[in-house]
Amino acid sequence: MSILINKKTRVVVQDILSKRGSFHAQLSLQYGTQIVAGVNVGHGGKQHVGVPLFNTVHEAVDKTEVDASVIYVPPAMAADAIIEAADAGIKLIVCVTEGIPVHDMLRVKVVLSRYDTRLIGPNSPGIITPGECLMGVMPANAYQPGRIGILSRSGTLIYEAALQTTQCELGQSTCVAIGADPVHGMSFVDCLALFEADRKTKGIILMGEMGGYAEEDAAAFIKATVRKPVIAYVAGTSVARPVEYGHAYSLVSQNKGTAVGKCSALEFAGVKIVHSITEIGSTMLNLFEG
Amino acid sequence: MRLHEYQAKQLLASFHGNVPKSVLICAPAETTNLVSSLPATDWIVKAQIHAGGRHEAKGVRLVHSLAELELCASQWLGQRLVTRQTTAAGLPVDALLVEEVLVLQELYYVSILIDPVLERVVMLTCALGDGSVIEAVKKNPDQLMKIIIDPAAGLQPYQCRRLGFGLALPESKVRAFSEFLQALYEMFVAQDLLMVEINPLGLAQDGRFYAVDIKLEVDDNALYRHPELAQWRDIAQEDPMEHVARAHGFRYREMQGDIGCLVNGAGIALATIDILNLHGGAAANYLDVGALATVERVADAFRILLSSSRINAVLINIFGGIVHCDVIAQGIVTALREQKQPVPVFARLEGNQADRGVEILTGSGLNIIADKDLVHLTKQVVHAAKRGASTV
Repeated sequence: MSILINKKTRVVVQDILSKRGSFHAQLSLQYGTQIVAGVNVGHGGKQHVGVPLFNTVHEAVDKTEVDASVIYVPPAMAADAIIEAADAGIKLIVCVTEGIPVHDMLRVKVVLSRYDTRLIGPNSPGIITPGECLMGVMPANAYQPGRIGILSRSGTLIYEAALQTTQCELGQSTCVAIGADPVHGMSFVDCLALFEADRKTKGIILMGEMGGYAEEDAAAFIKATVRKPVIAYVAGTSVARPVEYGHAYSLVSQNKGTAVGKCSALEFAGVKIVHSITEIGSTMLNLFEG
Repeated sequence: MRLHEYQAKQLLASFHGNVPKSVLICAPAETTNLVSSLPATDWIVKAQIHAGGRHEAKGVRLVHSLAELELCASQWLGQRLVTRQTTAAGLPVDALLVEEVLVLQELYYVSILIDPVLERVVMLTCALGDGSVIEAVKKNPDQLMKIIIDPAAGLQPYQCRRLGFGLALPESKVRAFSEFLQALYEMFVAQDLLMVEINPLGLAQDGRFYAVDIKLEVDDNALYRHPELAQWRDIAQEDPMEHVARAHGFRYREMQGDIGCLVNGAGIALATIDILNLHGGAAANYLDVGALATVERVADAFRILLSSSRINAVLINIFGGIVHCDVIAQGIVTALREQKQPVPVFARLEGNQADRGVEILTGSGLNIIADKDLVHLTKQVVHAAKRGASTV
């Protein structure tokens, strides 16, 4: 068991001919991911790195029965690519693209609410179920199959947590980076619910960051619903908030969003806070052995 | 990206939002000529900087004669203005906005921004009375009204009416108020804004609503489709190091300490600052090379970082994911070899080819200590920075 993706997941890569898309499609294929289609307009009927290409996602779905998509499409066209995937019936969309205008994402979210589709990202390094399936740009060698579910917003923090749990041989069930953009798809809460229900996941690591409200929401959900052990690290506890420009942000935020505030909220929910980035693996191990 | 008040007002006027009549003065010699186009001889002079808090900092003044205005221009232009929303160094004043004095009956606060929890565009309003919006909300939190705008439907007339009557406007004024809000929202969406704040919005004697002051932020990611706004970027208002870094595609942020940090990723940047803090050190800055690190890019990044004057030591914290640490090590060595008086450098390399990377750095003969143990290195870099500070 795992969450969201496994060895049966059939993946289409949107913009597989881009430099990044091509490179990471090859690494994912080597890892054993079933990449069965690529989409690039004007290249339908051709092949790239052994994968058949299509002009549209709809055609790829019809011909190859893909159920997940990873998107490397440039920012100006990425919103269109996400909606195309949803409309073609893709159930899980991972958007790696960084730099999508936020107004585009506001519209995308409204459209996606009408489909039975999950979106990870944008600006996400992706998702991995170690030993089974890798979608995105995560470095596979930091991971190993095991029992910890890891959540993060950005890439480097999830790699740290993964490597440390690999080194102490706990391994990971699935690791999801939900993306660093303010308007994005799946939240920490959505993923926590899946980890709580997943039999293979025995413990959860949440890698938070200053800014936004994802950690505060996660804390409330954990307190109400999650029974598995959760540890968290929140980056930015010693970093001053940027100087304000006007009053609008503080009127809306009501002083939420600081790393210290996130730590208190999580601690109140029974989450063990790790204060040093270097002690994530050892803290989780102690929780299991202690 | 922020715009100047005069730019934002020009933009709002193009969406049919009312703004006071004004002229922009960039050199004292222009003053006489330019203000002749404005009515009366009383004007408001406003220093144009990318920050708020100008009133308390005396960056806004009422003048009663041309002589007073000329004095203002000669005193302010070319100087720096420090406010509670700037750093201690302040921001350069390269332009003054000179506006007609409106007789205002009431003042209101209006802003539009993206609420990160709701992931929706929201509009906030508040009656101001005599004080600031913060004071007004503190006194009576119910005064702050918030409406949520559906991106598919846009701002609805009933929402404007609710806000208008909520501010206790007489019915005869609600239409003009609604028209102003519609103009503001139209601009917000059409120009890919992240935030626009009208503080205050003034109801004038002519029955119209005017944007007396405005703050505005554009989504950098959307500038490609707004070339006219991109041209308005004023780099003099931005941190020069940040600007150089951005031109190379790096993220840079200035901090208060004396340890330079080179990292790859936004999350690891924060984590590096935190671990320095945990061991008694303080970051001078961080430079994020991003995910696409090559020998040349790492060398460029390191050169930029080393050009900062306040650095007593450097901590490099790199997680080699897809990028190999030996590539990163070569970039570091390349940049450090060019330095005449190199500061002590401590490099933590982890992940792909970390051992090889550590070998390259250790064998370079340069003043670098490389390791995979971040705690150990952090302690050493903090110690080295303190020694560096005491020898200066």
